[in-house]
Amino acid sequence: MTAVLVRRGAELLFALLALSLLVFLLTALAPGDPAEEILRRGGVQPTPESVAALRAELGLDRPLFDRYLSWLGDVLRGDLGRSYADRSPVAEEIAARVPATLRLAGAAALVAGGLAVLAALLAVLRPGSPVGRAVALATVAVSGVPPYVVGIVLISVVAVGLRVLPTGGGDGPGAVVLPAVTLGLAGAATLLRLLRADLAHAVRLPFVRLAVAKGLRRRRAVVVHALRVAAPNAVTAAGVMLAELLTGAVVVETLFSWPGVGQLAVTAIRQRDLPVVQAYVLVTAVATVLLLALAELCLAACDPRVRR
Amino acid sequence: MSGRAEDAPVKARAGVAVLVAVVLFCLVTPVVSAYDPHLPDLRRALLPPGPAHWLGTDQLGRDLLTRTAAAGRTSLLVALAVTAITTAVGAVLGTVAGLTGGAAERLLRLAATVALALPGLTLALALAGVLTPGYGTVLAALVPLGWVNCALVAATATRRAASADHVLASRAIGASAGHLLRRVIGPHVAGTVMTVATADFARTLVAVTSLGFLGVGLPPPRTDWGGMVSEATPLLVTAPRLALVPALALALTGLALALVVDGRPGPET
Repeated sequence: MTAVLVRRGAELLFALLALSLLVFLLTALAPGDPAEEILRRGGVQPTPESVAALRAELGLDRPLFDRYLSWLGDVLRGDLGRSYADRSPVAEEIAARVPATLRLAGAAALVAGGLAVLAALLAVLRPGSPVGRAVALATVAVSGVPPYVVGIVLISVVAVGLRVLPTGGGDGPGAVVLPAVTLGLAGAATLLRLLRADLAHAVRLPFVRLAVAKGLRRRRAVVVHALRVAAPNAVTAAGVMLAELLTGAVVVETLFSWPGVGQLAVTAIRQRDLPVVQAYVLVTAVATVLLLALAELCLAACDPRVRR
Repeated sequence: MSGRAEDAPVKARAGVAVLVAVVLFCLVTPVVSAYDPHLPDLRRALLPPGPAHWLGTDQLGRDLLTRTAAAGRTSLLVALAVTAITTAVGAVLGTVAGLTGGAAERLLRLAATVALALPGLTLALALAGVLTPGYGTVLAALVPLGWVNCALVAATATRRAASADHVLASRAIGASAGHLLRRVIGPHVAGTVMTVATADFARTLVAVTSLGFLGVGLPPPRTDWGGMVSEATPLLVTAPRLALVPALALALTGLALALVVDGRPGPET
């Protein structure tokens, strides 16, 4: 276990460093000069002197690597810079939006988990039946269709056609339903793909077949014995899915005007507010990387065969 | 993987048939149509479907059918270009790593571990949003992390093929490395790579149109299916067909691709 921890830890550190470099370079690569941008947004016509003065104040005249190190130091202290639009601290803006995104991702995870476990059981219990094959086909269909297309169809049918739920926004108890189902369906496809193979493998294990041969009902053998064997892998699958939900949330938030970090980022991109975009990428990507690492650690803790 | 094994060719064939129909629709319609997909004509805005405009017109008076086809052509071509580059890069890197083994393969696997841990869509969104919009930007956003999957599969396939008995036997009777790569290992790896490329194309199409939907795709008036959906969402209540037509075209293509991918034998990793 210690060896796994050390190796995974090293890989994690490497991934985080690569990520920080990428996110930092994002602003360095961007066309245009941030100092000019800030001055123009402040309503000042930029002159060479004022631009040079602001560049010196922001430290933009220093070498790239120096800037990277001091930026990394700031980030580690929780300072994500200031927004171009209103000079407010970006960390606060992001923090204000995080709860909404987590609420959406959490609700979507519930939808996805429930659907995926049910569908996996159906596919394994009755592989040849019309229901089993319909479930398999539906999974294939959902995996090939982007979430916003599913969302558009859901909005036109449920919100515009039947007028049952609101088309968007973050107010009211019903508002979360459509975004959560939209995002959850995408998550369910991922989870099911990972889960079904494991469950199909577990069902064929000798002790499960023995249990069936001794007269245990097949459903009980699958639910009680096989599901338990597949469970550790399901933890990893859940981690992968959660990471995907966090990344995919931006599309669903944009479609439903859900007030989360993704919507903040898309607005910031339209206004070319680079510090906010940078902070969004950093926060989402670090969360994704940590989630995947945590999932793998859980798997190693559950399953000794992984600890090679 | 799903359903019964004998379903696989039927599914793949159905998928290919739908794909061919979609591609033909996207390529032929803009050429034979009497309308320009990008030219606004406000006097004809928001016409309902009729004999002149089979699917009606959008808020700027552009023929919806022609525009859907043109946007589809753009979406498919961009996704194809991205996939072609990532597949070529991935196949070469993977084959080299698989043949040389040792440090090269370990380096590739480390790079892949790091790359797979990064959230692709988030980075692509940020890159596409920060750079100046255009074809080059979309490529720059999607290529850097796109080659990983293909490289990993190619490395595994190459290594497995290189240690197969018939390859060892050919080598023992004096076959050159070039001959082995061209005639024996290459074809084996190529089949596996094509399977991955199909899956990658499906994923890239979703990514390309997602960028378009988020407003960081190609600059107007060029658009893809995602961009069309995003332009039409404010009108979802009054003219839902403007969003539904491109959305369903994309869904149909995605479904067909998923059927093709599902019908092919899965790659060994």
